[in-house]
Amino acid sequence: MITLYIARRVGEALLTLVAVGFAAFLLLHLMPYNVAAILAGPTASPAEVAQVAAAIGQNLPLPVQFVRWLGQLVSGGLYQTAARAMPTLELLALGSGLAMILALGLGWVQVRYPDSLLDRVAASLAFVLYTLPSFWIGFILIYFFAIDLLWLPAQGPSLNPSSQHQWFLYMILPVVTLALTTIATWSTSVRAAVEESLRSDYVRTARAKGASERLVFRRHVLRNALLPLITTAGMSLPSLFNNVIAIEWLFSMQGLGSGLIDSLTSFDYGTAVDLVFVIGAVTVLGSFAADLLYLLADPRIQYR
Amino acid sequence: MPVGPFGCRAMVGPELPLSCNIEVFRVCLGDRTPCPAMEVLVTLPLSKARVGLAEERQIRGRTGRTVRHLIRHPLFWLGGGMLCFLLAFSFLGPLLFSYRAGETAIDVAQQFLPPSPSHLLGTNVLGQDELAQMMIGGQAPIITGFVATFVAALLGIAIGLVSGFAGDVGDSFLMRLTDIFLSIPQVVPILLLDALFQASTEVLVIVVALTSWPAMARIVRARTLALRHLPFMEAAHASGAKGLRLLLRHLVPNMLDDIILATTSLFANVVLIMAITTFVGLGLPPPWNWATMFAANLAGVFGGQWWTVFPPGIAFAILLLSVSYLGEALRQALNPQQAREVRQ
Repeated sequence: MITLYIARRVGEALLTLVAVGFAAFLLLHLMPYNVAAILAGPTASPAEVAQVAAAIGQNLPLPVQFVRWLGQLVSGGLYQTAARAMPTLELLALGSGLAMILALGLGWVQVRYPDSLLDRVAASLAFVLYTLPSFWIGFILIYFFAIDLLWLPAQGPSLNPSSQHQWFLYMILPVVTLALTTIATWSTSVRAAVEESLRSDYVRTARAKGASERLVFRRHVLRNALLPLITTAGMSLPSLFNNVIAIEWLFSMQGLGSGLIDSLTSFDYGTAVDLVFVIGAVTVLGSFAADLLYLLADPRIQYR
Repeated sequence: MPVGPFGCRAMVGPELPLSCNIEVFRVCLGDRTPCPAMEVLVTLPLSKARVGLAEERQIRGRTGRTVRHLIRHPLFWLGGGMLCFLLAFSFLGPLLFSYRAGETAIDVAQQFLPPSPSHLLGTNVLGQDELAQMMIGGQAPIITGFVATFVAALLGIAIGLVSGFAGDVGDSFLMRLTDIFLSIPQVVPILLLDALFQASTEVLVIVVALTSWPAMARIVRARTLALRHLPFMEAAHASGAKGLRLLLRHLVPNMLDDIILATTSLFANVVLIMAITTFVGLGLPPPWNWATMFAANLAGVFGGQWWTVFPPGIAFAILLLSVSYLGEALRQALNPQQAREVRQ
């Protein structure tokens, strides 16, 4: 049953990936310029342009070209974009990790001490942060921690940081910015899950056994709140990525998002389409990983 | 107008005498809030009768309750006030202060003046008055936000309705399409298309709308599936409502609350997405708007010119917060029970 489910999810993920790739590939062909003419150079005659077009396979049917492009992507393009992908993946991983911790904490406070000052302040702050553009949150952090207090650098890490320590220092502000943009939605899902599990039988049993309230929360409530949080995190990956693009740009990081912007503004459409495919792959694989994690974490689900 | 036995009215076709056969349907609108089943008169022959008025009454009664809850909600007034302020600031402001001509002129001698009585928000690197720029800079994000939201909402409603009615194959195809759209970071296709077709406002609005509909389509589809087999829909169908009329007069009014709620979050999302694309250098074309002002003045902050960046950021915050507050107020007005539970 589980293998069937995994197989189906792999199939779905692959289908989405191919759809994303095909859309990106089609865009490459809609582009308002002739690749062959550019490759042949400004002085080339029409015959030479036609020769170049034949050499790079422009005359082949579109599906054949698509398969060839996929092959090129897998053999070379992905390798080139992998260097770009690392900072983005680090930012995503650390940011969502921090957001999970904050969301668990906030959701826990909201259920444990409802209507307290802490609850109200934290909840309304999370709501405000949720509505603000990510670059505005990032800027406020830069303004106070980098310009005013001079505690942290105003940029993200470079591709070759001189030390681990330096990398970490440069990573703090981008990661915090990314986490802040998403804690509102994530803590809402944590709160709902915590409220639900507090009403459940296993919590009543645990309390009846005499487990301390702290133990009940740590072992029974928070663990079960993690499950819906994983789903929420997986689903909000695309919107997280929207913010990653703005954050990379704001903090001048060399990631996938800023790479896409750079290649688009410098008319390097080939690289742009490769990057689009990699970004699509990251989000599709991310939600796939979230599904798998859920599957590992909750043995009760029914698989279809 | 004939009055039924339970006090509610049924509209009878003009050519039908009241004395003809009358059947009583029990109709419950079947929305989230439990409502008492209501008696609706249907005159036979069914194909000529209309049940419209009675169920519309019920909808109107619920709408009235929602509106009453809404206007008592402080967040509604806070959000509405903030939005009205921004609209007045961006569209009346330039007229009142006749800023457009003079004050945004480039005058490098006036560069980086801090806020003062003559320049309330100071000046930027080119000596342009920040306040005047702020006023005109709000027009593009607000207008494009409303237009793109409108188009995306229509698209989403249409696709959701089709998907809800299409049945097996069509539904799963449309939902797969929705899933694919939802699994791609929206900014990426927008950046790509915007760069390809030379950034213009029209292209941006169309592309943003084309990538924003999935959330709305999902909600409308879910509500359609929940509502389409309820008695009132069958009654409407039996009484001769068909096609578009059945959808627009009978189905859509019953999910209007969800649609409006989804539209507020759609607006916030659209504005946010356009702000991000514009901030990174593509997106909305010149003349300036809040996002380009924010991006262009960023470097100046390191030189101490904080007044050039905070106003556009705060303006974005007010715009997005106002719509979110309106949506939150509407959500709580629609589910007063739930809102009370949450507060407890």
